[in-house]
Amino acid sequence: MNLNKEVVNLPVPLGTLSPGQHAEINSFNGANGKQGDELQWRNRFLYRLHEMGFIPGERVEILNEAPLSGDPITVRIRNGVYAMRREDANSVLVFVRDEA
Amino acid sequence: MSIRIALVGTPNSGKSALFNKITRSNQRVANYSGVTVESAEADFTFSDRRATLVDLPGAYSLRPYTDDEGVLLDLLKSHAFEAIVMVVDATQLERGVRFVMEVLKSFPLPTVIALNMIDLARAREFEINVQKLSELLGAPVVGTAAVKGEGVTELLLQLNEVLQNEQKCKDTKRVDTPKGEVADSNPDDVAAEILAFYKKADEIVKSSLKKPGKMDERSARIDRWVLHPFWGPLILLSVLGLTFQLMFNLAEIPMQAIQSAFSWASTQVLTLSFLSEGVKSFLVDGILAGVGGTLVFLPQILILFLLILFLEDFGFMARAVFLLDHWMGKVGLHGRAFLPLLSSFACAIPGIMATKTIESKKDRIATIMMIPLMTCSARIPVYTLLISSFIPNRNLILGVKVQGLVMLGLYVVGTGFGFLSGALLKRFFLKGATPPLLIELPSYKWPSLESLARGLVYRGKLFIHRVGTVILALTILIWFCVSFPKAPQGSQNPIESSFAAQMGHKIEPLLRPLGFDWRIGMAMVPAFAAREVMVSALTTAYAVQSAGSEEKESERLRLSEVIQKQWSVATGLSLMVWFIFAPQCLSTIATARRELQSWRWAAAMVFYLFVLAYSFSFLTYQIAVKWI
Repeated sequence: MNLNKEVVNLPVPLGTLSPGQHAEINSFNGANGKQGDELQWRNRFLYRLHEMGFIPGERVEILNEAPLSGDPITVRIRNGVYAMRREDANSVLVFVRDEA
Repeated sequence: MSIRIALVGTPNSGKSALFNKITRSNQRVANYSGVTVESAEADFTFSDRRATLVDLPGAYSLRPYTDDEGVLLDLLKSHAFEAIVMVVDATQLERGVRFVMEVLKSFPLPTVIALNMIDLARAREFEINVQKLSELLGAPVVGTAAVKGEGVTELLLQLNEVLQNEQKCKDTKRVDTPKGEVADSNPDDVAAEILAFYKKADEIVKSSLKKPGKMDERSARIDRWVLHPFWGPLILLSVLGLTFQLMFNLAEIPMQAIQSAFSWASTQVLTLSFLSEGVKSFLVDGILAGVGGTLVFLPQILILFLLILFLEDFGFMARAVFLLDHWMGKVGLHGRAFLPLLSSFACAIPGIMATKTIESKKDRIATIMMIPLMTCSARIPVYTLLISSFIPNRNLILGVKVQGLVMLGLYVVGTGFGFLSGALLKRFFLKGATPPLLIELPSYKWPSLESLARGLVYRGKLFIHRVGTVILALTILIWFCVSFPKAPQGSQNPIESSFAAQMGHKIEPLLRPLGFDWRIGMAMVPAFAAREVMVSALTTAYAVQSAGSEEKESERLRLSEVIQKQWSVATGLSLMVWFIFAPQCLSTIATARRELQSWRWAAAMVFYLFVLAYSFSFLTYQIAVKWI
């Protein structure tokens, strides 16, 4: 791995990655001006992600994207595979990594 | 005294399979997130204890994401259980152990943990130190492979032991009142708590995992095809098309057998000299014709369910959600609405109940309003009758037949209008953001024959129960309305004077523009109670009529030939269209009202379906009359 590249590497939203890309979870996005029900759902979504193992430092891999639209995507973490929409996946910020 | 035991676990952990193995009941096992919406329970005995096992809805945590998961928390908090059996997917240890810790902390009851699908874990070279895991969790852990029955006896022995220990220390130690409260405090604090909990679970797993297993590359390989940008949609369409094609082709022989059996029984009854003509008419034209006319569709319904069960257990349905999510998004819903909608192809009632898995109230209303337009199995008898009567069974190409294609067309039109209605509702009446989609794609696995068989027996029983109760009662009622009052001797058309005919004549002016005569109108009235009764109503009506004339005995059960002679093709087509949309059945509307707690939405449902049915039948008939 190129160390130099590592330094300038900034976290990107998970929803922007393509199938086959690997990444390491860095942090989670703020509420982004969401309010009311929308905020509530976003929180619950994040809780659920945490419960499924989406925690900082964890490795993820994008496996598939849906035909035509390219959305939703499937994300593999540990031994589980989960489908989510790109927009929602953007709540997770990741560093792109080479395959371990 | 019987004790109550809660069965708690994540979706796709084989929880229902374990339930089946312990209780030998008919609860279905499905490889799909959130199938067990209603909790099932069954009695069983172990180590001289009588117990009731309650299969609670699958959940990933005690922090409900959907109403469905809320049920789990409510039931656990109700203090109704003396023990808990937790089911954990052995190939997804971290997630499962986290949930176990959460439950143990909130509900400190005697608990045993089934490390299920241990056979799959072994195959993927996981090496788990079960002993260590038990020690770290402070509760017995048993490796099980529920589908094969492995480890189930051991699990029950351990359960007996924890219950005995509980008994011993009951006097000395009082169990804390279950807390089970998940306060929705500061979101950051909640998140931090979950993260801390997960990390702890991770440590426990790390120290009890001698060797972490391999990823499920087999499922990933299958997904490269099933979720492929080009092949994926093609596979999905082929699977659905093949399902319908199989349903029609495989059912042919058993259907003929049922038909001949009823025809034989009718002939036997007619030869019984000690029965009066009136009793014979009641038995043959009323009961045998009516019940036979409906029962004949049992093979088709069973085949459809077998295929749906197979696809669910195999893991294909979750993939279908993924493939269809974008299109559901166009409606303003997300992929999760797919399961209730799909169940509605069997029956709208379980479909409406399954909407509990939908997070947002508005999305739930929209889905429920769409459900009556999904083609339920009660329409199959009617569609089959009409298609076999009015559509030629020509081969197109490669064994694809016109009849199968028309059937698919009816499904597509109904579903299409369902989605259109949903989209309009979401756009104009039920505006609001759709909650994030998050769905697990479980590992592919071959469904066990046992669970398929159980599921089928369950469905078959439901259908036969319906035939034996609602449909039998309505059939008798219809026979009565068709047979009385008796026509004067020597009347040309004995049915003309009956109650049913009077009713049919009354609504005929309303139905004439749709191409329906009073006889169809007469059969349509009881069809509001149950759609498939349409077939037995028509059978009864025409059988009674032909009994008066001198038609051959063999025609009694050949309704198809009769209506072919009596109706125009336009009428047949118009009736097919009517059955796509008509606001039926009563139980669907009652269930919708109960689930939504609203008369207004139920009334709106009846109204919009009626408008659709009337307008499109009208158009179909008027166009068909001119062009065909």
